[in-house]
Amino acid sequence: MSTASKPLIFSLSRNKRNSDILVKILGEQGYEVAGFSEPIEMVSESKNREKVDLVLMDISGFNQNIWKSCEDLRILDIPFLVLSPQQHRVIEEQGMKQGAERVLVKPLVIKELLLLVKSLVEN
Amino acid sequence: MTKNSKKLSSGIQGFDEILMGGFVPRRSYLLRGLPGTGKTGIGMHFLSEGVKKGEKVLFINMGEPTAQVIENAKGMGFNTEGIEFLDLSPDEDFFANMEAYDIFSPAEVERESTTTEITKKIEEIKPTRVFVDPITQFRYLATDEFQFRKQTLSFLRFLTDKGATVLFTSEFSDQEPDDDLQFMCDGIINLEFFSEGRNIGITKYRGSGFRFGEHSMRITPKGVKIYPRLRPMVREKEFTHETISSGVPELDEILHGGIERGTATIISGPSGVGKTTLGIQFMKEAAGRGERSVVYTFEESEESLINRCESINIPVRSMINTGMLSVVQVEPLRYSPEEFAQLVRKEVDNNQSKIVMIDSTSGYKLSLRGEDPVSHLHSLSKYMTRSGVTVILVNEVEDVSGGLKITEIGISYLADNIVFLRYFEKDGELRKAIGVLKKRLSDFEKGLREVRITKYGIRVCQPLSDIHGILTGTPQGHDNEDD
Repeated sequence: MSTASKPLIFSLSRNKRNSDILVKILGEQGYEVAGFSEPIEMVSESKNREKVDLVLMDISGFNQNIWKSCEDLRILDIPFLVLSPQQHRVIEEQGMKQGAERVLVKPLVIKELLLLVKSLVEN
Repeated sequence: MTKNSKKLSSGIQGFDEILMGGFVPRRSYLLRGLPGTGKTGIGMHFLSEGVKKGEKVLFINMGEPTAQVIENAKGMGFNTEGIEFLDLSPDEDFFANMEAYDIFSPAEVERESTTTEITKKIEEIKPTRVFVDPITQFRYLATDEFQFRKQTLSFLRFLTDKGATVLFTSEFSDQEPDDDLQFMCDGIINLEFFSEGRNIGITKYRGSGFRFGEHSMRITPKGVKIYPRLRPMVREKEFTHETISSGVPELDEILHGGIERGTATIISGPSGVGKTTLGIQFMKEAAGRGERSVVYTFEESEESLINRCESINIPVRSMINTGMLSVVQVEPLRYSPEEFAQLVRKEVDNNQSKIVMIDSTSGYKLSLRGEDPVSHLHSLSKYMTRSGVTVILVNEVEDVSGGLKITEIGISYLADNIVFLRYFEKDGELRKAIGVLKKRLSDFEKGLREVRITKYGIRVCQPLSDIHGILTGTPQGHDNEDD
């Protein structure tokens, strides 16, 4: 649970605009959001921060190695959501297996995402 | 009808007539039409009228950027000073930022910002008139049909609740019909553009009556002009039902006095027989009484008509100079029937013209743009006669001789009186005969008389009782004379 500071959310996406929009929308709700396009950068930054409350991982454009990053997040005990470009049983299974809280299919509905983020962060 | 004092004027006189005073305030109205039909022009008039009255007005442009809207408006003769703009059109950044996002649907993301901008502007300005052009952009901000309907309805409700009267436009096509919008508004105005001209018509108007049918419209360098379809007045205007004389005693005899005010008379006959001259004769006499007349000529030039009349002792030039006569040459295809009717109406209402001649009915039919000019002629004629005007309709028949045919285009039902002129042959010469076929308000002489048009004027001779068969064009004497 966050203290006086804002909850911190990381957005990992190859598409910078996706991250920018998340920064805006989540920022309006009072979260601090940082965007990354490289998993390694994101993981190393998370070690620099006191606490990362949630990671939104948009897997579009990444290869199989993305799942390795999930293991890193598990070790650091950071909850994450997998955002997939399409409904695919394989992706869903893999995501859940890797420890994702949920596997969501884009495009997301803003309201629903905000509710989900809120419930996960307040946990 | 002064209960319309609360209605908002559209800024276009003819449009206010069709709307019976103007728009009912705090409602929303849909302007539909294909591109180029004049929707933005009407919106501009609407807003400009508000500016004139010191109201706050807002133009929400969703298709074109503000600079372009202002430029187009200037091109149409509008001054956009005093009009607030809210630019929601796609800007160049949209194109430059080619990278699309897919995290959320664009509809969701864009709508959020759009709604915020709109709300902010409305709270800031509190406009009484709002023009949204085009509202169909909203479709792309909704994720589905249901959302679109809900959003548009609540948007319109938001505006009208805040005290605004809203005009919004839709561009529709087969692929993108706008049926749903038609249910959401309080009034629907349709604009059409044909090769013959432009039309405007109302198909829905909650809370008020309106003039039915399609009305003529024109886009001029000074803005939009609308010419409502003329409807004859329900009640007659007050006028004296008297008979006016032709000034030729024998002619008055045939007509048992002359022709009555507030009636329509058809003068029928073949080319060159003297129909126009006969009409002008009545006008000459009227001028002597100090009454003004107008001739609308569709075929002959003003000069030619004047010269002809002068040569037979009808002082047309001096009648014109003293304001007792106006000869108006109507340019072919210049007017729609509604526009022409407005012209005539102005003449009758403003200049108190008492006799109006239309020369000729076939010229009228050919010269005016649009379909079905005959029914327009009917309305126009009825309008005039109900105002007490004496209407003369010159009708040319094609046959020089032969069986009697009164009218070519089936307008004899229009007439209260029918006077006909015919050629007949006698003693190897072509002569002219005049007769009355019908006279609604009085009796008339049943026989035919010879008529001569000389340099002294019209001469009507004694009845032609000694020959018969004139109407066939080949008369015969009673006493078996030479054929």
